[in-house]
Amino acid sequence: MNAEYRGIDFEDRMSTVDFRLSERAHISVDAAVCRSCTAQVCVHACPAKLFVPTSDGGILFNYEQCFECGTCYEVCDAEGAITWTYPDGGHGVVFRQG
Amino acid sequence: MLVAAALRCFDPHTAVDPLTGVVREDPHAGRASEADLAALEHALRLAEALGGRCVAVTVGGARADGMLREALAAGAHAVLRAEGPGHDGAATARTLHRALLARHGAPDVVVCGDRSPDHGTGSTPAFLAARLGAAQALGLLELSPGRQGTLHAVRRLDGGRRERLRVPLPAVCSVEAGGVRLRRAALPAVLAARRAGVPVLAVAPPAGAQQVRTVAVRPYRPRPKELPAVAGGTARERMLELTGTFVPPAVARVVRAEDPVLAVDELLAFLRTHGYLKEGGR
Ligand code: SF4
Ligand code: SF4
Repeated sequence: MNAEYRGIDFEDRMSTVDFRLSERAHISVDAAVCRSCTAQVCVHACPAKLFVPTSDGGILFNYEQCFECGTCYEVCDAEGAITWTYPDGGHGVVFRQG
Repeated sequence: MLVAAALRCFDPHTAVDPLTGVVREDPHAGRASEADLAALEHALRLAEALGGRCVAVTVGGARADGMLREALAAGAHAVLRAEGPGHDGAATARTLHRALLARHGAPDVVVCGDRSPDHGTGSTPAFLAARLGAAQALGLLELSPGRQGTLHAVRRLDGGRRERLRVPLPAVCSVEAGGVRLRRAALPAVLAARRAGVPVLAVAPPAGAQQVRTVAVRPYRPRPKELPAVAGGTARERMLELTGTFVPPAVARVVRAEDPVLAVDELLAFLRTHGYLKEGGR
């Protein structure tokens, strides 16, 4: 990872945004596909740390506090593992600074 | 001997519309704070004792006229209202100074209230003293003529103690509200003051002064950091590189060498491994 990016504290990063939660998840993860995934790159790639590996080799995913950056969708190369849409109108991430 | 009472006019009944934020001011409601009334009484007493004239002066609009007429009724020899910049202590002091010099000459004593209820900082007396080149004694409980052309002042200290000061002239003093009460004006004086005209002197703002200008109003936005582009052919490879997905996490290693020499060797080896020291370097 680029050293400059690593310098941002996780708490600082999360404090720059507000999340207006929609009842409908805009990202869903197919746990069945993830169970056969060996790389689990999403765990490292998600800046909000929303992908958590479980002891049985699966993935727990929570769409709350999602930055909508699309990184998970971009890095995951397993077909059908991640379904990504935009949040409903009026919901999603709101930047607090700038 | 000229004794000036520098008063500040405030409106105790200023009402703010809760919906629109518009401030409604009654043009006749301006009056002096308790501390300023005490300052006027001190100025009147000093002028009597020193055989001088007492001038009540203020910076403000027409709504300060009522306050100045009260000062006339109480016994001030003259009043003066300066119209000019008064947005902070420095500006108020400059306007007061200019107006006094133009109309009455340099004062020997200026007495002010030590604070005003409308968020005044109490800094005007200090700025005024600097402009007049005068001694300053602020936050006083008592003020009276002293020996050899000085003033005698008493200031409150912590723990119930008092500080006694001999203040040389010219002087700028500010007084607390509790020390004295303004004398009651006689009815003929009140009636005469009602008909008296209030001299007004316009003081121009400083020419060519560097004023703060607001260029743009927008939310704070930190400057973006410039970072070198990452290597990698596809977007996915670059993203994996950026997020450090395949970089093994650095694990902290605790070295507990019994011999300091071994600990130094361990540290040097670590620096060599990570490229901070050349092989064989020390
Ligand atoms: S989301 Fe994609 S990368 Fe993450 S565990 Fe599932 S299949 Fe693997
Ligand atoms: S879009 Fe970004 S923040 Fe949201 S889950 Fe994917 S990687 Fe995490």
